[in-house]
Formats: sequence, structure tokens, C-alpha cells
Amino acid sequence: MSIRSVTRSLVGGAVVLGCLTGAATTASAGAKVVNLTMWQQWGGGHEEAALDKVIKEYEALNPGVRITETPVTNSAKILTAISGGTPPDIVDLGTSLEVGEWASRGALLPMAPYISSSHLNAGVYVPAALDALTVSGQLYGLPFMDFDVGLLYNKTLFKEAGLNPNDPPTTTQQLQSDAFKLTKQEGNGRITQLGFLPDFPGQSNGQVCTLEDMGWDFGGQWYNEKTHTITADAPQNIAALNYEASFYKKYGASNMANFESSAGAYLTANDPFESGKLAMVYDGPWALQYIEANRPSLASQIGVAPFPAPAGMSSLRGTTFIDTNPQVIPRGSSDPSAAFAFIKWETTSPEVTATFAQLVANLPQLKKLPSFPLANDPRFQVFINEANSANAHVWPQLPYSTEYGVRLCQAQQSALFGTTTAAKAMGSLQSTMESSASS
Amino acid sequence: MPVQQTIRHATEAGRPRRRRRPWRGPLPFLLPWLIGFIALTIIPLCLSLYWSFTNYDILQPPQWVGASNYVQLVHDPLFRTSVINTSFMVVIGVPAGIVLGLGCALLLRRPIKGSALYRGAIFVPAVVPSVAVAVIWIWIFNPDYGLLNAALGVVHIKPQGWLASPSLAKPSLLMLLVWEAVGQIMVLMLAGLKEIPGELYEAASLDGAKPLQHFRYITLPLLGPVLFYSLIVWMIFYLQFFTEAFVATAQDLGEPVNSTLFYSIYIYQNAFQFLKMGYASAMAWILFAVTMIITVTLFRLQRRFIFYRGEQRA
Repeated sequence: MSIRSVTRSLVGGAVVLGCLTGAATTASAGAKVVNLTMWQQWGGGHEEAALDKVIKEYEALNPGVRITETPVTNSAKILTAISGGTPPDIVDLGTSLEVGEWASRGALLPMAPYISSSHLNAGVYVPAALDALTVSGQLYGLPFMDFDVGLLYNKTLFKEAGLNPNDPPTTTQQLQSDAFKLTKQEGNGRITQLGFLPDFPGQSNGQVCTLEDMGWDFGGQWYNEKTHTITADAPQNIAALNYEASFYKKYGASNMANFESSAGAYLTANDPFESGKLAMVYDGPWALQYIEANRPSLASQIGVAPFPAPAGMSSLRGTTFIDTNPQVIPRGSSDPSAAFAFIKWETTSPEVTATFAQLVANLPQLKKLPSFPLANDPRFQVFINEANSANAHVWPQLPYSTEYGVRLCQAQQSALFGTTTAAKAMGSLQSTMESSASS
Repeated sequence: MPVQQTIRHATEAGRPRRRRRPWRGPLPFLLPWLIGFIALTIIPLCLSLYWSFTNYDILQPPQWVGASNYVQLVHDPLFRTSVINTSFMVVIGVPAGIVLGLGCALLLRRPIKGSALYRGAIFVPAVVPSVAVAVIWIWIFNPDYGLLNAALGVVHIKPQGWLASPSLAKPSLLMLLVWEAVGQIMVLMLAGLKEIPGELYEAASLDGAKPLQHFRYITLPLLGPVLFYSLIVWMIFYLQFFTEAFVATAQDLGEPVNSTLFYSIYIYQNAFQFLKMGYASAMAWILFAVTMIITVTLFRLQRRFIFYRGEQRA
């Protein structure tokens, strides 16, 4: 193992030295080309086309570099490639969920040496996005396209229920009383319209577990960075889960579950919110874009507000998770310096940032906002402002982050369905994660 | 050819020489399979046994931890949940599949009009890939638009949230699995029934045996080996149940509320989501041991219950 890594780093060093010393000659000779492979999560379609345009532009600026991108979304595949010693040179991930696990096991290269050698000022990025890529004080990637969540609500349904469509709830108590007014339930228990579904979209739709946000919103935290301890069973987290469970209790867990599972897939015209069956949702800016495409008539009726906080805790209004699309360099990358040069250019270019932010309706990772049409939309600005506030939180980056996230969601479900109480669910999550942390 | 040589050849032909290396001939033909078998089955098998005694996350070298993974399993509440969920599938699913498969075979054994069509219809699910089956059934189970609730609605039964409800999700998946299994079991049973000589029924009828006695004293005992084979094969299959549950709960494995967290799903989750390869390997070896023990026990027991034709019994 050690011999192999020593040889590898020697070879790598030699390659880097060769590149540096030979840079002047290669440019004139035009013979030596750096070939980089990039695995990206944007998939096919217009997002991949946009990325290809970005790559072409970079290749035109840097004639000695060729970048080949391939859509790869399966993290097990990336993991296998890294552990097999044949990773791509750059990985563009859709979430930072696995960064903690991979970085703490040495699968990703720390950015510090490349940042200092290329004189990159990390201060250009939104600070919270950098936090999402920081594992035990070290940065393991550059952020690209941030995302967070807020309260989206359907003004038409507000009007129908006799609520003021320009006065969205500001406290969680208000949200609940509004939600109850916005709910229609038949005699047999079937819910035809629902005010708020506390665990939607959530993990079952490939999104962040809503209890993460709700815990922070109630003043809780999931990990204490100072004492390095898990704090799943903090009283605020239990209060948050009890709040979510109160919706399930009122309308019946099985009726809530049926309501969700009878709706179409998330972000299609038939998903509960887009089909006008769900009045309020804790979701991100991309939802606006999908509604625009799927149900243009509904789009103007969607309002966005910072998510309400419990009464008396108004400073917590607008609480959200924040995450980014990490651009990382795996261990074993054939040319980390060249890879870094590309991700640095990609993530600091205002033009690239503006193009992608407009295209995928995500937030620019740059503190200095580039100009693009969406940035002028007051609803989109709610998400941008939240990202720069103290209420934007990052899921703890630990060697067991994924497990913590998955088990959090399992605990949430068992409390929502009433198979256990919120306090017991969080208590058992705490002990399970403590034993995972110690092993 | 010189005479001496001819004689030698002749004697050799007459007295067959024992070939010392009988594997030499077939070896080149077996080699491609053998290499694959050793590289993809034997070596990983041995490695997983070793890893089950280590902490291993793929990215770093494994660390020896002794039996700690096995000890930890005992205290893992989700391990228990996954064992209970899987046992439910085996204990109810296997007998249900066999009874229904045998039932279909008995109904369709005689060439009635359209029996080939019925047999074909029942067997079709076996030809459909598991993933496609799961996707089809997700729609059948849809609470608002699904076929199942629509059918129940005709007889005024309240719509159910089949896969959404923690109490119904497991039975729903079981229904899907049995639907897949019945056709295959039926075909086996039909073959088994064909093997039973008609004279036995004829003789029994002459002695005044009723149809139920035919079944009890002729069909069932002579079908023993086929029933036993089905039992073993389907038990192993249900113990490893994975694909359909994985597809039905792809984003959130085990949902709702861990009611579909089957043993293999929990192995997958530990290995590929939590990077606990050692823990997952330990689980896999426990599954192997349990399967082995049940199979061996059943083989021991079969001597008492199963009768093979042509077999002498005291």
C-alpha cells in the first residue's frame, strides 16, 4: 500500500514537474495534450449541452487541455473507480452528502495546496457553500451551483380558503393553522387537498430529509462542532419532530401516506404541489422552474417566503439547509493541477455561473452576484438572501454523514407513523449513531 | 508400418491403459468458466469471509476487529427488523406459492378447452424481468389510480395505500412475489403430475377411493420430491429477496417505516450506502449459514416424509 502510494506520488510529482518545466515548450510544440476525464451528474439533455459548451470554451482558452465528460450519477460507481485506482480526473457531484465520508477516508484530494499555488481567493464563494465541502477543517472541493429551501405556497388555494394570498405564515403556529384551513378531507378519511405535508419532498423523492431543516428551524443542531458530539436527541429536534407528527396525527398517518403516494412523481405536473392538491411546501428554487415548464398557468400563483420559525424565535425565520454541487478531484487523478485549473475557472467565472444558475434555477456560488434574468425575480431572491444568512446550515460532514442522514429519515418516519414517539425515535437515533461514530 | 509397432498398438488397444491425466482433454474447454468461477466467486467468497472480521470501507485497507461485527449485529435493532421482515416472506410466501402453484396444476392437468392458454397466462409473470414486474405492480398498487383499488371499489371496499402503509407494504410485496412464483411452481407440478402412472388411480378407483383419497394417498406422496425441491429452491430465493423491494423503495430503502427493510436490502444499505463492507459481509455470512442450516435440516427430515419412486422401504 505505502510503496504503491509512494511510487504513485513520485510519478505524479514527476508529471507535475514535467508539465511545469515543459509548459513553455509544449505550447509552442503543440504536441503534448493533457487529457482530462470528468464525470458529471447533470445527465443528458440541455444541462449536458451547457456543460459541453463550457468545456469547449475552456479548451479554446487552454489549447493544451482536452476534457471528456461522461454522465455518471451512481455514487457506487464513482467509489469503485476511486478504490480501483482508475478514477476520473474530476468528479462533479450533485450533493455534498458523500464528501465527508469519502474525504475522511482519503478518497478526495484536499484543495489547500492547489488553492495556494494558484492564488485562488476562496473569499469569492458564498461561505456556507464552502462549509459544505469542509471536512475536519480541510476543503475538499470547489462549490458550484448552491441550493437551499424556503416556503412555496399556492396563492389560488390561499384565496379559496379565505386566507390573504399576500400574507404567508411567519410562525410555525400560523403555518399549522393555515394548513388546517387549507385541508379538505372526505368522510372516509381520504385527503383531497392538504395544507402542508411535513416530510415532502424529502428523502423518498431524492431530496434532503425535511427533519434536518425543521430541527434547525426549531433552534436545534445535529452535531456539535466544538465537542465533536452527535446531538440528535436535542430537545429542539424532538420538538421539531413532534411538530411534524402533529400533522400526521390530525389527519391520520395512513391518509397522509395515501395522499402522497397517489400523487404523480415529484417535479412533474402531477406531483402534489404542482397539481394544486398541496398548498404549501418546504422546497427549493428549482421547483419554480419546473412549475413554469409543467403548469405555466400556475407559475404566477406561486408565492415564496422565508420558512416560518416558532413564535418568539423570529430570528430563525428563513432557516434552510444549504448545499452545493461539489467539484472534486479524486485520489488517483492523472493530473490534479490541470483538473484544479479547470474547476477553478468553472466555479469562478461569472459567465459560466450565470449561465448555469439561469439554466437549472440554482443559486450562484459566487458572493458577487453575476447578472442573469432569474436574479431579478423577487421569489428567487428569497433563496439567495437565505443562502447568505446565518440561518443557512450545512449537514455535518463526518465519516458517517450518509448513514446519519438515512437513519434520521427512518427515525422521522417511525415517529410520523406513530410506531414510536418523537423522543424515543431521536433517542435511538442518538445511540445508533454514537455506536457508528465509535466503530 | 513396421510389424513390431503394429503389434504394440494392437496390444494397447486390447488392454485399455488407465489414463493418468483425465482432466487434460476437457481442461482447455473448462478453463474460461473455471477462471471466471475462481476470480468472480471463490476469491470474493473467501475475501468476504475475511472482511466480515474487519472494518472495511473499500477506500482504506481493512482493519482486523475480530468478531466485533457479529457481536454488533446482535445489538442492532434494524438487523432484527430485517430478520423479522424476511422471515415473514419465507414463512408465508413459500407455502402460499406452493399451495397456489399446486392448485393451478391440479386444475389444469387435464386437457380441458383452452388449458394451454390458462397455463400460459399463469406462467407469463415468470418470463417478465423482476424490475419490470416491480414497476408494473407499483402502478397496480397506486392508492388513487391503481387497478387493485379500482377492483376493490367495485365491491365497495375502501381504497388502501398498499405500498404506502407500514402494515400493508410487506403483504403487498408478498402478493407480487407469489404472483411471480405461482407460474413456475405450476409448471414443475404439472411435470410431476405427469410422472404419476394412471394405473395407480385406476386401481384405487376400483378399490372405491374417492377423489380426495386419490389426492391424499397417491398424488401427494408421489409428488413429494417435486414439492421438496420447490420448498428448498423458493425458500432460498425468498431469503435473498431483494430486487422488487429495491425497485419499489429505490430512493428511501425500507420505507415505509422499515417495513420493507429485508435482509438483503439491509446488507446493500450497509455496504453501499454506509460503506460498512465488513458489517455487510458478516450479515451475508450469517444468511449463508442460516440458509445452509435450514437446507441441511430439511434434507435430514425429508427421509421421513418424502418417498422416491423405485426406492425400497422397510
